[in-house]
Amino acid sequence: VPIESALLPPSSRYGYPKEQTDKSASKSLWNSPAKRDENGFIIPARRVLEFVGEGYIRVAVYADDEASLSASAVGLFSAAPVAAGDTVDLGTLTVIDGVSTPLGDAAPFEYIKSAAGDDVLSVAARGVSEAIETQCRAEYERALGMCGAVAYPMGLSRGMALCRETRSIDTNNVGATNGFESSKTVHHHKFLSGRCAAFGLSGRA
Amino acid sequence: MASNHPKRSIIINFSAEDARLLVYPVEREKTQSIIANALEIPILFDETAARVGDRYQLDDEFARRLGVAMLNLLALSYPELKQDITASQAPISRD
Repeated sequence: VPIESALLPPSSRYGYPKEQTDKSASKSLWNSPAKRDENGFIIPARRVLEFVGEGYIRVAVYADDEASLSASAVGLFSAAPVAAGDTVDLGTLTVIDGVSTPLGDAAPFEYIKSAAGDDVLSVAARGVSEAIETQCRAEYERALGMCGAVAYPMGLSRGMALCRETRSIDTNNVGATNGFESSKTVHHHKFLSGRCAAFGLSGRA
Repeated sequence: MASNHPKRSIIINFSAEDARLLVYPVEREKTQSIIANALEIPILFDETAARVGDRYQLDDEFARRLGVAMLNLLALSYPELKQDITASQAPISRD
């Protein structure tokens, strides 16, 4: 069962916060220029998977230069639960500098999930999930601070409450801007952005 | 005489290097994808504007409060700005 192969730049779908997880060591990695052959095609040599949260896996293709790892392609795709033996179709990755590279000729990545759930990827996913919860908590604190910065001088109380309300958004609106087609209406927390929106950190003063 | 403006939103940037605010009126249409996932802080006229008869009045105090709110938001990102905000934080009663 191939995973939904909509590969999108990191900031597009679901408002995945640009650069939020990549501030540290990986930032230069993701953004450094791709290694190309004489025809200008990116040389794929290493594929790296990174879990960036529930339902997301980031795929990076690196040029084969161990001394200076350069990310040549980064994509996100919505990962349905991956079952044992599933093959992940990498499809065509969207390359940071706007060029696409077909990966069809490369061997597909196979993710074999161990029954115990203690395989490397599962362990990595758990760790990242905790890290994201921490980040979402931090985002919650910051959002609270921003609401307060406005609400206090304005003398708002109802506005402050509205600030934390949830709303429904039609993902068609989001999709229209990045070419992703979906007709789902999802409940979105306008107090928290993107992937943190569903984190349930709401309503507390 | 005056031509019709498209609906615009306003982006306010602070430039610490040369101590200026930069105000960008941006066509509202172009901001939709940005604000879709941004924190939304509603400021209700009903709650903070003066009222005369059936009309709101965006008076001196309303403008002052709004200004302080915007400066406060910037000061969260630029803490050095905070010490320069000498305007009253608390709303000043209109009575």
